[in-house]
Amino acid sequence: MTFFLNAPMIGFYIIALFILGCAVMLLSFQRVIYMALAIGGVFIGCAAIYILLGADFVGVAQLLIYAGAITILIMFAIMLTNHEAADPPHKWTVRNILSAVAAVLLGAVLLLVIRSTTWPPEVEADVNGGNSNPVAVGLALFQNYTVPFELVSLLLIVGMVGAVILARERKEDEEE
Amino acid sequence: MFQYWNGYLFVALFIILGILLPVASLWVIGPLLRPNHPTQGKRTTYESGLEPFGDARVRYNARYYLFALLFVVFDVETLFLYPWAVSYKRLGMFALVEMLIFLFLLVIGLVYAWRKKVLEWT
Amino acid sequence: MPATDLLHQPYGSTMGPMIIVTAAAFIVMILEFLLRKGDRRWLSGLSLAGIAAALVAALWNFHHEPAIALNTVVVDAFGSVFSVLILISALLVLLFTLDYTGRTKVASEHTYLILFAVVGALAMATAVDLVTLYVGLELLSVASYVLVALRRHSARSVEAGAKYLLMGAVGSAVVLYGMSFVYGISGTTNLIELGSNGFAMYNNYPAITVLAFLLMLAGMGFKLSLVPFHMWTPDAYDGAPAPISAFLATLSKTAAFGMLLRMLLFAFNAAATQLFWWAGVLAAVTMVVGNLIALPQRNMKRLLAFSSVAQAGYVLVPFALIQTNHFNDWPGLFDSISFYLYAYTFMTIGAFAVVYVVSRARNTIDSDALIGLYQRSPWLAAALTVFVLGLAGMPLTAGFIGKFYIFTDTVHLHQAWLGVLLFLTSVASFYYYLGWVRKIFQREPVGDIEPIRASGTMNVLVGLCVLGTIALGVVPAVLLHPLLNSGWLY
Repeated sequence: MTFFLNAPMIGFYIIALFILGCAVMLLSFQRVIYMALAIGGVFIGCAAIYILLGADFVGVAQLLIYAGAITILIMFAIMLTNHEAADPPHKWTVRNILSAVAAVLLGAVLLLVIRSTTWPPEVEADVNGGNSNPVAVGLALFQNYTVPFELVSLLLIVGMVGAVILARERKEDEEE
Repeated sequence: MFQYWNGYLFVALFIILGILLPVASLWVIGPLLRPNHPTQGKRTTYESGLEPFGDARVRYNARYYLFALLFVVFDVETLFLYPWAVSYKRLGMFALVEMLIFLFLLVIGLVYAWRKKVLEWT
Repeated sequence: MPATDLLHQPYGSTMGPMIIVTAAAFIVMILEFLLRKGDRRWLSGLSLAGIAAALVAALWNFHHEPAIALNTVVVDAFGSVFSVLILISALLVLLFTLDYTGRTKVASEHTYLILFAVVGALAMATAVDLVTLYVGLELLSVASYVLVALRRHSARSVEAGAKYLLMGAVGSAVVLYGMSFVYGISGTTNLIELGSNGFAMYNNYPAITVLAFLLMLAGMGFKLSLVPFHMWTPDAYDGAPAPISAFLATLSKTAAFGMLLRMLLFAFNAAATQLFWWAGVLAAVTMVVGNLIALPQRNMKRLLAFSSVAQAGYVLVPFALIQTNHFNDWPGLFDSISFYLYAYTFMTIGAFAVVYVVSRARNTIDSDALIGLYQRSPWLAAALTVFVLGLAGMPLTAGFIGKFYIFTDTVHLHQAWLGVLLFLTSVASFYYYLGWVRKIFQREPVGDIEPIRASGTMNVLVGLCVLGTIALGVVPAVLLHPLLNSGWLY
């Protein structure tokens, strides 16, 4: 019974239900723009999970980047393409059935393996080493993960350059 | 740890309140209190006093997308600045150099977008 | 780590090539928007120079004792061999783009996108930290997605880019999921730490370890287009600009193989006997299916795409042999992998180059364009024959030696069934490769024959690839010698 009386556990179940609800809505909507809204819900739920796990900074980052910026980006992407068309009604083709079976199998295997594992026991000691969460993130990022941090700046630039190349309106386009 | 979750309990409460208040006023209490006499004119979409025309779902200019993407890139950059700033005293010079390199590279990205006329609106 | 130590790390040897390529990328990028259009033709030369400088630095590293900087990036023979190959293929691909952009209207930004991708690839070859490896993989992938969609007015190119983006993103996510399990049970992302306590990991959490291994293998399988995950390959190769197809088939695969090998070796070495046979299964399926689908292909780029799928299967065979669990065997297996990748790079880039020249001149990508090639251009005909026979595994070419090494490995390590499968599928592959050779030497049935002339850069490129293919086939010791270095792994 302590399992259910545990406050964070109850919180987790509520959040998980919310995420699953949003994910199911995402799959069942016919219009792409509603799907984008539903995925925003999934992002917010994930942020709540991070906070529940004690990762404040990641949670806030998730809200800021994913729930805020990425969802808006998806919306823009949908709005500048032809978003009138709704999905055709669903049909059970052989391909769909096979994909469904594969997905269920994968889910079952993952669930089985994760449930059957006795995970390392929860460490009572403060994982942040006595620091507040953002400070701990900063120390890890700038001491242990220097190289990936600098590579991330290249990654951001490549993303930006790529978008500019592919989406920019050019003068030479009009000439063609 | 319990202290920690307690703090977020208030956040959760505020979120629930924030959702409940507009729902209650718009769908529960509102319809009970306000008079309800719909006419054709009242049902049309409000478009700043003009007659509404066209579809609300127009195709946007691709420029909006580029702006949104630039926003995401620099949003991520800001996010990296925050843990750097709060742990700066413990990190010292090396982290300063790291962050300067990071910022310098992204400023090149900004100049790139500017020179490629992504930031111009006309 | 105290601040004073941070200043005394071997940055130059470990990250030298990476830093040179990054600097070149930024210089080219800045000059590209500063210079006027007419002055921009110097930029390709500049990027070639950057890659060449990095290549010199990477070759220099062979004399360097294995060392590590910041606990993330190492210099060792393993990393150097892959870095050198990555830089060589970057050089060849850049030469290829020189000609391509001269004729086709394509965004001039591709030069520094390729350079950024090379930085990612180098990180994948030299990093010993899961996070760094992943960021390197993403850097390479994101740049590749854009490169594939570079001909943005061609619906096929954009479609290819979108498909590659979707499948690539799934692959990345799967790799990351596997890594997260490894981190979850070991508490570290550092491969060296993982390598030293790998036994504990497998003994305490066998199921999760298997799951993590499979997820990482499958995720990289998307990038390497191994068989159940190869669906995007023909479309992406067909839709992408020709140099970029060559880039995907060689540079991107080399980096992915380097990363996969290092990840699996370090994180799962203790459980090699229980885990690595999965790679054998994947290799077997890839060899069989890849070669079978290639048989009826008429589109030359699609055929090369399927051929690259099958070739990835051959390279995966030595991965399966790691299960023999004799640490002494590993350098030999590593030699087979890297030798085959070198041979494969020369043959594939060369084949893509000739196919590009021919399809451009004949205005069709159908393999009938090859008919009468020896009358139109004996040089190109001979070159393509060399590449194709090399890919099939004809003696006196590099492809044969590479396959021979892998085959002897399988026999030597008692996994002969893989070797036999490799032999049989190679025989099947002769069917479609020789189909090309037959067309090349077939007479054009009708009328006047206009000769095909390749531009100077293309001739240089094809010449280099022929040289590589033949040289590695006739005197393989040229390459095998540096690989038998004692400090092959940090």
